[in-house]
Amino acid sequence: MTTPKKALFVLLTALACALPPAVLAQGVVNASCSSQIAEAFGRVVLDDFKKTTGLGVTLHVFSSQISVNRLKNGFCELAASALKLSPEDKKSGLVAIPICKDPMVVIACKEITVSNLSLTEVRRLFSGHITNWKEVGGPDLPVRIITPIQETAAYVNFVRQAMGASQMKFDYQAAKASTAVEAVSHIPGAISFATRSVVSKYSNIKTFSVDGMKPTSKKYPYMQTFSLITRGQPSGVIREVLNYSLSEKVRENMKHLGLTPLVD
Amino acid sequence: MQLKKIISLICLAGLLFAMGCASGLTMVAPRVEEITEGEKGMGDRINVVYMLEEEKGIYTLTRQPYCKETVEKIQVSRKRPRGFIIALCELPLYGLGAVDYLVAKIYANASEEEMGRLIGNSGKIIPCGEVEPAAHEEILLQFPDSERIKRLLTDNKATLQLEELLKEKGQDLQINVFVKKENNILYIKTIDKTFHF
Repeated sequence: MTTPKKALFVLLTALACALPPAVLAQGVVNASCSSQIAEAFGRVVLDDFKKTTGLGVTLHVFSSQISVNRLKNGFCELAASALKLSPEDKKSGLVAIPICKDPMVVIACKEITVSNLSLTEVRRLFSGHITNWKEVGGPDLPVRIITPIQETAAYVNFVRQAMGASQMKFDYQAAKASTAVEAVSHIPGAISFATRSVVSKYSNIKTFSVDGMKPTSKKYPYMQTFSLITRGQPSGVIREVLNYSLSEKVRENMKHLGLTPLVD
Repeated sequence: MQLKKIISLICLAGLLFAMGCASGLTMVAPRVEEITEGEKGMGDRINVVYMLEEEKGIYTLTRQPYCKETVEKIQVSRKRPRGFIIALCELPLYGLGAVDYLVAKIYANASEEEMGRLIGNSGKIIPCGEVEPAAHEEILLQFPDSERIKRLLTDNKATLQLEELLKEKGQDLQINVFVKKENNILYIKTIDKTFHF
């Protein structure tokens, strides 16, 4: 080794020794959360978790699929998702703990006077075959289809559960499921779908019964399951987040929000 | 040639002038307040962690209390060592840069004065009791894909008969096990059946 190289080596080694060690966040869970779940529970839950356990959660809100991908790639330790894990994901070591379920409701702006739609009408509305609300007994208003983007769990779950072989069309797309709800409240003739706990926060949005079944009915078939997902068996602080999510207080809060706890 | 000599002399004079700079700078530096961590201890009991262990097809439930780990936070006022880069420049030429910085470090450490102590949470959860068998506990088995919940009780020996349940043909690749305690539900483990297929 030449003298300049030696000097550089000594300098770099000295600098490396002098640099502080990487700062590790202790007692803080780095979590990625589906926007629907974040919207349904709100910020209050995080504050209460910190107050109850003395531990913290750093939350990043994305779609369910992105949240799971972040977990797979080690960007977070916990994901909250409205999508079911595939067998491949389970084989790769991801563990899903379903916490609660929430009905997926068809929504429209308040001006629509119809309160029940048949499943065929729902499919024809979202596939663009029905273009005016008067075709289903409503006012003379053009149907504006608003959907969240294809990557969201709301879209995937709705297409899988309600659309059958019908092709989904849209006039506008929202980046997040909760944004689609906001858009419906402002656009006349707008129709969309969303998880009920998010919709219930809006007073100017109409929800429909489908085939005579109200979303509050136990037989209502269009449901989303909200799960907490971890890489491997939950332990330590992540286990505390899970136990908090299953505590009596949070389960009561879920019922208050219209969600159905799955472990009760 | 003359110019080179002058530049070299200026550099040399600069370095000579810089000798002892790190310790000098440290001595004139203002005091700063910082918080250092002291001894670790055991805080409030946060939870009981249940464990389910399998041996020859028999599942045994055990429990162990867990507490918040506390840490003593000491507020100190001190001078911080300065002039590290200068000391580093002195190093290849004289070797005295190391002594200069060492003196600066010793002076900075000696200037430390304790202002007060507080007990805080370290953010970790640590076991704070013995592992004991958990007899007569209510167990919930969650079959996530079929959305079934099965309720069981552990016997006197804290064992659970899960063999028959796990042999049942179903679509569930993972079965979550919980314990229900005073209306709270605590996670125990996930029985993974993915590698059985």
